[in-house]
Amino acid sequence: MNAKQDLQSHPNYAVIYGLLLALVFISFGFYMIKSKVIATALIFLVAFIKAAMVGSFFMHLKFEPKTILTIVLSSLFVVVLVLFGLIPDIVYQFGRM
Amino acid sequence: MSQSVTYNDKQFEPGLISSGRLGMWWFLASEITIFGPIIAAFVLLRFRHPEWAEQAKHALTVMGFINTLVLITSSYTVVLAHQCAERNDDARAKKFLFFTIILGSVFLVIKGLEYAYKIREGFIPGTHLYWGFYFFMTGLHALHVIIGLVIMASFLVGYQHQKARIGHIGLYWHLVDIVWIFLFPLLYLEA
Repeated sequence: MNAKQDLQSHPNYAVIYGLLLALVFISFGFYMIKSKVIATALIFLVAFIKAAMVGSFFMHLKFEPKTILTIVLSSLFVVVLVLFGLIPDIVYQFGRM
Repeated sequence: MSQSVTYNDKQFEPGLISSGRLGMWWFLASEITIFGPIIAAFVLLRFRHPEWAEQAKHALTVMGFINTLVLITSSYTVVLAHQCAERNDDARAKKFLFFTIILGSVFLVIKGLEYAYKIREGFIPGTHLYWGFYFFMTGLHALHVIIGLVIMASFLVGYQHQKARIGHIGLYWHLVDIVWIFLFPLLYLEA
């Protein structure tokens, strides 16, 4: 494994870890915001950023062949389908009962 | 190293990824389709029922926050174990694997303390749908943590035979971490 490949397969994990810790504290700070709508939106934005960082760098998705990304996205697509499939019953129908 | 993995983000070339790693990614995809819909259903129900925030006040946010730090740290140590194993630094690889097991165990102890408090105070499934979701989602997640710990302990015992698979268990562990990254704000930081 040459130096370039090693850098690709193993980026600077300490920096990623430090950023993740900072984001955990930041999201906890957002919890203190009075507007709950804004707080929730910011907290989940940070959660998506943290998940993307873990996936991209710790799981090496950023450096994997596109096949792997396709596998992951196809499973996420199923989740999105379920989400939109449930909206009519849970958010509207169930709410009326 | 019996099998080296070459990374290439420019194009797909068959043969660049080992069958073991490919199989692990398919397994993780199936895990996403298990956790994803449960989380999606909970998110929609929470949108419809803002009054569930009253239940979330009893979720022990500080303990959930500590567990988030513990699990993210364990993700860091397991990726270092993988890095050291690939560089044939076996002593450090085993050390980081051991640290990961310790951190995973700490996570479970804290989770156990949380469960004990909630059961003692009567916040259990059957009293409110929120607690049904809480115990199911965190219980399923804790089961994944236990399975990961058992596999990592077996890797530590039979290190020479399992060395090439540390990257695989690392992938699994990171997914467990990602699931918690979403469970924490959903269940503990509810607005």
